[in-house]
Amino acid sequence: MELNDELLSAYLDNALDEDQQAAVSAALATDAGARLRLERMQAADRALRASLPLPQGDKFEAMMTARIQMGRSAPRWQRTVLPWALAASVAGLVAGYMLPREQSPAGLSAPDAVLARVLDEAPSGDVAGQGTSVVLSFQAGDGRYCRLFRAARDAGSGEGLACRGTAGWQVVAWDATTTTSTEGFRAAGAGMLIDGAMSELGGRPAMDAGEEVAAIKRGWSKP
Amino acid sequence: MSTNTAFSQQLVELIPRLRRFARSLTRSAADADDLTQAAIERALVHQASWKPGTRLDSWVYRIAQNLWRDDLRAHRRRAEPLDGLEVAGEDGRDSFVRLIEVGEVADSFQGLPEEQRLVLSLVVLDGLSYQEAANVLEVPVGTVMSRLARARGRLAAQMPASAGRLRAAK
Repeated sequence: MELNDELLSAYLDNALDEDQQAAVSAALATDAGARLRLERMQAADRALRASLPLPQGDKFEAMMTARIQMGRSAPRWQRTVLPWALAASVAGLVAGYMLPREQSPAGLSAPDAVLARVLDEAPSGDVAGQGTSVVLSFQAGDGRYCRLFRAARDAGSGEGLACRGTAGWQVVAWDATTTTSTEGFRAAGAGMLIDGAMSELGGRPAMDAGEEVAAIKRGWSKP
Repeated sequence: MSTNTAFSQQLVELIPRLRRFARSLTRSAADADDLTQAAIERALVHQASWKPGTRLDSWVYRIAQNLWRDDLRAHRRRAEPLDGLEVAGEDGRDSFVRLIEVGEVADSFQGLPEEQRLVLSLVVLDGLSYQEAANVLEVPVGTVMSRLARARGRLAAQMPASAGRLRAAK
């Protein structure tokens, strides 16, 4: 049996049928040249795996994760900000973004116990919190930590923004129209309120997973 | 778990492997992340055309390949070489030999034709079967076998002469 590269390569992947694998094994026993060739192929495989490690745990991955969790129709600010957020730092201060009264569901302008706990403790993307989850976190232009969250309540479900000031978390924007419908589509104009609040808050790009965990451990105090 | 949630979770888990696949395809970390983002956007938009129960990675890899062919390659912005020379967690005994091997193989890999880089990426890095790789690349299994053999043959030929013997002696 002549051991060419195609046979050796398939042998390496255990991709031959049983008889062929056995025949190659037997032929290798008497063919030192083919053995060396096979060993070099194995060494090349190992070196290739070492030279292309999985890229992970960085800001880009955190942003892509947040993007996926937003679903098929991301709000405008995220579409524009995402790929370039690494370098961008939008200036802007907000002195108390006022909620339109009719869009603030009862009990959410000051977070209820579930929301407060989720805002304090849950990493972005964690779906555990009784219909409440955090999409992403960032530091506003005025230095406060803010978190974009999703919540379902009797009064309706949607997306909101909460920022942590000296008195704890405060919901600064809430938009029930952002909820994705069962068909997976959103109403035109959905997310506009949150978009507006995000751009008024300004600040830095979304925090990556490591920064977020560190902030949670510090109880969201400044480092 | 809803279909949407399952889809999102799988897509999130796929991000690192999708980025590595894109790096094999584009040979540039920056282009790879652009491509990754574009593929994710397209996957989200066309979520309904993915069949639950089939491999999400194959489907998204095909999206990435099509995007790269159709569009992004023409508009690529950067061509920084990959710097992937991080030799992780080895026992140290042969780390010097490994470092040489890794450097050599990284250069050789960059020099391979796209079709050979992709088949190596899918089978050697991602651990896909020949049939699964054939599905992603939309070629017959025999083509996967021969491309892989040519690619491995070229990498093996460019390995330092000592590599095989040192390993054989261990």
